[in-house]
Amino acid sequence: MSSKQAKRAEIGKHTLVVLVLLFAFIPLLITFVISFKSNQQFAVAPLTPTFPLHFENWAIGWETISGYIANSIVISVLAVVLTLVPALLSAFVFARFRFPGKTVLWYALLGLLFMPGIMNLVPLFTLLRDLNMLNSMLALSTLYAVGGQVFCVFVLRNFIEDMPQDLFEAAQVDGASPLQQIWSLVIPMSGSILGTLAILRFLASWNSFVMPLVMLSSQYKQVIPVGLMRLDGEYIKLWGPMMASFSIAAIPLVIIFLFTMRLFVKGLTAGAVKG
Amino acid sequence: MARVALENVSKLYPGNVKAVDKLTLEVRDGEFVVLVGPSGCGKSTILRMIAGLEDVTSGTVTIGQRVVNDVQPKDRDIAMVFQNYALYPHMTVRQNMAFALKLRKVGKEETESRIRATADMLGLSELLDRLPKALSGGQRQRVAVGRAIVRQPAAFLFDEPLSNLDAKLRVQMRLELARLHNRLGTTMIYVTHDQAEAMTLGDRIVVMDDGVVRQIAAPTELYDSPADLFVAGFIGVPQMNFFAGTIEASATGVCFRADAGFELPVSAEMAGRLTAYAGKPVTLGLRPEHIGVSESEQRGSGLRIPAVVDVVEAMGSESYIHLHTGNTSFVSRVDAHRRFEPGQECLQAVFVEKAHFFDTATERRIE
Amino acid sequence: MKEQRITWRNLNRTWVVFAMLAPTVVGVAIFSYTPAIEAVRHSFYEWDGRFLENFNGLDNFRRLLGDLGLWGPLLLYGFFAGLASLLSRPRLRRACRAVALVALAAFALAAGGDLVAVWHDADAVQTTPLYTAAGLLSVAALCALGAVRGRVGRGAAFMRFLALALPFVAGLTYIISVRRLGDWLLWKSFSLIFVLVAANMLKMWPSIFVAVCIHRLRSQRWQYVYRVLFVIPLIIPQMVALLIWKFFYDPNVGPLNKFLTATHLDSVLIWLDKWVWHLGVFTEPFRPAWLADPELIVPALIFWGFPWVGVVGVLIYLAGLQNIGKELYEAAELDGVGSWGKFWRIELPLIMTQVRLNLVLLIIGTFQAYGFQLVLLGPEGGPRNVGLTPGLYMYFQGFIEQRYGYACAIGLLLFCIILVLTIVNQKYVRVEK
Repeated sequence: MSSKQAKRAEIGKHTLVVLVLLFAFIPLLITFVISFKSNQQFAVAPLTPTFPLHFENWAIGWETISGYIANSIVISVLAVVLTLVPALLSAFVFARFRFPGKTVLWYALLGLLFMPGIMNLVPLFTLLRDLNMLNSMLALSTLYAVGGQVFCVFVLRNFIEDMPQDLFEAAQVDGASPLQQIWSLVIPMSGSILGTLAILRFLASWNSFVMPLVMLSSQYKQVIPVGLMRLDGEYIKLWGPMMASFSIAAIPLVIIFLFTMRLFVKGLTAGAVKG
Repeated sequence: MARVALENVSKLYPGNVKAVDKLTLEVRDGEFVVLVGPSGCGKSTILRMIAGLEDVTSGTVTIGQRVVNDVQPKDRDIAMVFQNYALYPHMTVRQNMAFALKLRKVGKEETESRIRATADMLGLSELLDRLPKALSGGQRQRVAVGRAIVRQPAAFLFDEPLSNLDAKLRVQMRLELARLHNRLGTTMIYVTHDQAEAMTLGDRIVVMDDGVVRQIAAPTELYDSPADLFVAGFIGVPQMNFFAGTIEASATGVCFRADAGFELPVSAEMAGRLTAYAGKPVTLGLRPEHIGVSESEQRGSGLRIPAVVDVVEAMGSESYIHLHTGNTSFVSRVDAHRRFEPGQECLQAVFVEKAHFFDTATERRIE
Repeated sequence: MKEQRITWRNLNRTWVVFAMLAPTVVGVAIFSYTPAIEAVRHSFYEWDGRFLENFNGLDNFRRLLGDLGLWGPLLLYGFFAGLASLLSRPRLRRACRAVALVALAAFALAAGGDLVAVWHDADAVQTTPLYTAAGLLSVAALCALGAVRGRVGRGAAFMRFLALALPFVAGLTYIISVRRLGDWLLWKSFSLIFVLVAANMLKMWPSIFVAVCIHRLRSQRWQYVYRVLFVIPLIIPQMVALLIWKFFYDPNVGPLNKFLTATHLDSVLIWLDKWVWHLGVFTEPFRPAWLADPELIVPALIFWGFPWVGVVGVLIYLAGLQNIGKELYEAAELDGVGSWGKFWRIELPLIMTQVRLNLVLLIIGTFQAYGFQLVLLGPEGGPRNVGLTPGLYMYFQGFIEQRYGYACAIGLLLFCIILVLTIVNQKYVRVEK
């Protein structure tokens, strides 16, 4: 291959990738542009920028959905903590200990990975109702935590088993209890995998929409996806504020992403987490 | 400081795999004992049982005056150095050494002074703030030892600590460990598969095979009077030469008739013990240095056997001459300045006084 | 052997370990297993989730599937035929096959009797699917013959598979299409699944191409930049993405219609509709309601997400591609393999694990998906239920019609189907850890 040809091929690849990226980003751009329009401006020119920019749309949007965002943050953070802490503990036990019934218990957990969540929805609803836990944000977090539990235990067990086992024995001789081993060995050494799992679980909780729709009845406890859906369902749409709300809804994720981008790109690309 | 004693200790793995069988061993206070044997002989299992990393199936383990069968590793007052060092990769050298002390709630100043003293002793003072990945193999090894020393344990356990080092470094670290033992005077139990390490380090050596102790003895005793065929073959490089044969007693004296075709008169001292084995299969063991090689019949006493040179291995200070007679091959160790060619026929002397005889059936040495 | 052993004997000092397991086990027991067991139990109940809770035996399933006398033998056949292909011990295998054949014979008898009983009422019998079923059966018979003839090799294995699978499909065709038994809406939702899965198989390719393009870039730096850029869309909340697409399809203000009008493609579509398709959806003035017109919902769902580059998909394929050694490319270059050759002969086969994994997850995911359709089309799946998926149908029966028992029965059926898909996946698609 001559260098000229190689260069042309290279440019071709870039063009294709950039084109695809453009398509992925255009919706974002349109959302952003519309978020500054009044309804009149939108009726005249829905897609191109118009002046003056209506910054108050963002204020209105913020007012409408800030409550939902706060709820979502509380629920998702709680869900991540409730997922990862027990998952880490039991993954450590599965990786480091042999006890009667281990295999049975392991497969009982693993089997849940193949159970379609859809079958559970109705009985879960009645279960929560009987436990008097409907319309509780904590209960919703617990559901997310249990839903993500098995996957996290699976990934973390593999990770701990791949660590040099000498380390744990050295720590044991040094006098570290299992909890101390987790605290001073597993957590510092599994930073990137824990981080990736945390982000994945956070995203899953953040995006989940049927569960809160079914489980939460109070408007003031509702989460962002349901809030956005209600906003979209209103009869007379205020396009500007609605698109501003859409943009605002992404901000918490943008912030998380900025802090964890490196780790996340690494974690996902390394194939540490598949599916 | 403490004695460590194992009494009738057995270890069964699931599926009735016997790793250690009824082992009894007493390590005296301040003694350096080396467990040596081929891989899979159960020596590491013993160490791990002393450390508490493995349960004892039956028998008792005693450290000091206390039976520790049901005592957690952290409460046994022992320190262990692992084959792969097991340094905590995310902690600096200082943090690695302080970890156990911190868990034991030793005071800050006490910890610092112990670390400093140990680091001085091992030449680690400059490296205290480095992470393990920034250290060389030898340095890591030293940190692993240092981490054990700061604990000031009653006994040290070493699990093949030098096997990951290159040959030169290994010899150097071996010396340092010996020096360390002289200085600390603490009980040390050391596991290795390298007999050179065992011979140079141990006050006493435990030779193991297949979960059973073959012999417990001081290094020289082990070399000079091995208890059985296994020990005789395991200790010493090159390996002891073995010749299968039978004992024949006649009016003129007792002699050993080798299957390879030669006859060896037995010294008067041995003759008395060997008469009982007349007509039975016996194995003759001869160390390579006790087989001389000569082209003429001028020097040496004892028997001379015709043999052909196969290969000559020049080691510098000496040469190993591989020979065969009939279809039995054997090795002789001679001065390096003597020249031999492959294919050359020669005669060699056998020093009868240094011959070992083993009962072929029981593999025990006849004494 | 390096794990620590814990027995009941030394429990007094190892109880901590069990305490560490407790949160996971208790949580899973309460919030995963209890509802699952309840769901299975209640699929045999008439249940409104509140007051009414009557055991009604197999009524839910009768309603769901139709005549159980026909279904029973067919499902038994399917179960044992599947089991036979999974078992490795020849004796068990033969036993399973024998049971399967008996079940198949029972089904043939039942179906034959059924057919005779309804034959005189000519309107009740659909002849076209009947021919289809007969055709499938004869192909199965041919395959069985072929499988007996050629005992070894891939071709024989495939024939054997067809010989076992086709009678099952023929049975399904008979019950569902010929006799129109069971819950018609559910069968309709399944047919939608088939369309969507087929479309998704085509929609996988752009991700693969993009991953290969990024992977082949010379500059490591650009590769990294693109990887980061492809992660960014993940931060858009799914609901926002969904609502933006909904806006995209809006008949009055949506960019799609604006685009079609601006490029005069609308007149082309109108012409096509008038003379070729005869759907009556593209007319003057050009305002097709993509998500409200029953003729357009399925095409709109298929076009959804253009250019169909899944972020996670690209990253997973990239991970697979990175495992391909440089030497392999160099060897191919020396052998004179071109660009396309490299793709078909090296890259695609080597990321097949990921591709198949993605495909299976996609199929299972499509079966379960309902949130998406719920937001776009409402619980009935839009006009004439064209957008109804099985999952959405379950949601509809449970939460809208308050027939929780029936919804549980649908859930159980879906679970069984997904279980079968999972087993097939485990057996035929090797997934490395």
